[in-house]
Amino acid sequence: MSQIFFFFIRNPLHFLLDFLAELGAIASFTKAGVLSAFLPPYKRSITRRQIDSIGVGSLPIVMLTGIFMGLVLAMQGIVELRNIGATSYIGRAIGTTVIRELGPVLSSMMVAARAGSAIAAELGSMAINEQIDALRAEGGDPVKKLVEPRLVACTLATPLLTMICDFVAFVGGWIIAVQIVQVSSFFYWDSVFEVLTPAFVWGGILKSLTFGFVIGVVSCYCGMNTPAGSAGVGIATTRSVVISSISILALDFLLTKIYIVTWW
Amino acid sequence: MVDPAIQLKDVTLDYGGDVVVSTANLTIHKGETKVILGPSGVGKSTILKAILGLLKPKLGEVTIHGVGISKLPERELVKVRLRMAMVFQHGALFDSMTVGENVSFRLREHGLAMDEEKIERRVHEVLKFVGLEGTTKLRPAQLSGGMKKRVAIARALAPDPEIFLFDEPTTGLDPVNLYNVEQLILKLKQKPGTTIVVVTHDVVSAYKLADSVVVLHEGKFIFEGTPEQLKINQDRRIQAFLNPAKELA
Repeated sequence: MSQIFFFFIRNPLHFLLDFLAELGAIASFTKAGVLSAFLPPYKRSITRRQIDSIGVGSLPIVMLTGIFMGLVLAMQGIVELRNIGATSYIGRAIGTTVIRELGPVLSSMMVAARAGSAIAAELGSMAINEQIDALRAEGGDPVKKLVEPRLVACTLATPLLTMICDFVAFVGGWIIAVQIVQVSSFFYWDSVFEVLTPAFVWGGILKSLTFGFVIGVVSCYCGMNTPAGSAGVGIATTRSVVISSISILALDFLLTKIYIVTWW
Repeated sequence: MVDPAIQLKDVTLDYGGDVVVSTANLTIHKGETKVILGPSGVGKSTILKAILGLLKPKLGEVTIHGVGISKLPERELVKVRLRMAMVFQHGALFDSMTVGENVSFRLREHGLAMDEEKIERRVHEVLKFVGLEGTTKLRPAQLSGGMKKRVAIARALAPDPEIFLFDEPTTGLDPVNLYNVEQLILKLKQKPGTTIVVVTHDVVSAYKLADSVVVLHEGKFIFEGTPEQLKINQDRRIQAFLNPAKELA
């Protein structure tokens, strides 16, 4: 009986302690990565390579996400707006939804799935092949060499990708609204730009900047802490995508709440 | 007596609470080649990581040329690490770099050689030493296992460190490459003042390379002496490792 009692007491306690320890480790990892970005030497060429790999590499999938998002939003929106005779306001509906929520969230999810998983897998395979130990043995700083460029690249590339995703989503909405439902092209774009106030646009950019930073931290952390063995890389990659995706959704909720209270 | 280059004083090493090496004491003198011998999984490589400061001891102190490194912050530790070089079991070459970039990594990173011409000359020199001239532009993926190990040795040689750490240098090599790697280590031994630590389970290599041998058994050193003393040691645990067919029959 006492064993069962201790099982229920001890396990949640262990879980809580492990969780807090992990949280502490992530916090100190994040601090090291951020500080490194502001301290010389600046490895701009490595960062540029990472921006190219993460940003340009994720562009096709983000654009595809954007176009389908616009197409679907327009189709669904028109069905609802037709009931109240307001189909010409479809641009406004798409603009609001894309800039505020779906653009940052879906494009960041795509970055997490495509680039975040690649970062975790690359760093994970370096970890299990002792390349990270070798880097330290050679007097190199893994945070400076490996984490910082990826963290900076994710943080900078995600907002840019989000903006492209948003624009492509507007084009997707335009295809349905103008070419199929015969809404005036001028009216469509006019209603889209009506919602693009600085507060709206900056709100979206700040969200994607935050998501990009989180993707960078999570994927680098999971990669650098890959469990030993051949299954380790798979575990690190899965963990990176799952944690990034959940963090994006949770942070989206939190940031939306903050925006509503402070700006909107 | 020559000054100790490396000292382990009552060192206990663990991974997440699981003790791998328990209260180990070891002294390696400057210019000595010490072989740490033992079966797989007893903590030999872990000791090398502790010497390099990649793993902090749970208890005890590791000193390198008299400097205690167990509590040194990372920035100070780098200075100590630059006096050493490690050849990892599978080479651990950086995949994203060419052979030349791997070999010159420390020279560029820490400005050990001032200009590009000097760096290239040194890369050429050490690659020639390991018999791999003309491979500077190749990627690690294009090399065989033996070549990778020799490039790793070249990378260790390039900054001309005082201490070399070899983790299973002969494991997985064909007889020709095994002979080549052993000869490289023997050549290194001839350089005055060079301290070498070799971790291996290969008894034949240990006899060839060692000035002195320590045997690690279940996380504890159970023997220290010359290869000749090891051969005649009657400890059953040592005999079971050296002559398993005879002991286990």
